[in-house]
Amino acid sequence: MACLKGDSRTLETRLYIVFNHGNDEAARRCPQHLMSIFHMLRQVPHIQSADGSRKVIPNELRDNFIKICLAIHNYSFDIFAHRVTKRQDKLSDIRECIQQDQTYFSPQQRSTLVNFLQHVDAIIRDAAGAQARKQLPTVSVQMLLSMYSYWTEHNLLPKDGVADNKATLLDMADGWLVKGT
Amino acid sequence: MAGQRYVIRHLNDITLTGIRIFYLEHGVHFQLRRWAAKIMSLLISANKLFALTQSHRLHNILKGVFEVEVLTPPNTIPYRCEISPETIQEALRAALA
Repeated sequence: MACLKGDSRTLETRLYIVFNHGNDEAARRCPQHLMSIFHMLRQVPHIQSADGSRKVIPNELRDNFIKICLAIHNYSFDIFAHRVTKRQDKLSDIRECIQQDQTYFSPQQRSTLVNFLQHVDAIIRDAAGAQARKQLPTVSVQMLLSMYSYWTEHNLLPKDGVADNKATLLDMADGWLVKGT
Repeated sequence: MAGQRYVIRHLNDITLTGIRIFYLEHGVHFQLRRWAAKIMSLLISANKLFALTQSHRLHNILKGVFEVEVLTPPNTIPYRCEISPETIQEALRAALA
């Protein structure tokens, strides 16, 4: 909910956000986290695009984007590590299934899927290596960004994030795996 | 015997047979796309925040002064939302009356 409050010169926007967490460490760190995110966002230069929209991150703003990632990530490493490692025991089985396929996927699709699984394997190793510091180094976030670009460019994930319901190569792989190869 | 036939037909009817066979053979109980999206949720979120900085409308707001004030949690639940089929039906009836 937001409201506008005018005094003599300025307008104030109040945004009320309700978080569903207890009175714990995460709650105590939340204000500082929000401020660091705002701080990052304010540092990103605004570059006018021809049509008013921007889907691709320009090279000159890539460092700013990495800083935003780090600002988010510094408060959520445990969640990230949990998500990454949750399914690692199945990774080699899935890779073996896909590599053995001869008919369902085209050679290009099979190669893309194997690359994807190698990427995931590398992310798992990176997350394990960062457990002690509870923080991914900048170079790892850069690696993640490169992988994400590969995943979207090769239609493994949609370009517009999770909201896009367009079928991807991973949906195709999921369907194939469910059918029992 | 009749009971066994019923169970098999039931599984086929809800088209879970293939999934169950795969689960037994490979033990994969999740979707690759969902896993990939969760792994990259950090970048997907950052992408959405980055888009805010490039929005013509929000640009001036971002340049303003930000303050975060923590409010004390309410002692009681502020509202309750029950979305059972009965309450939805009741709400639809009231809206269409």
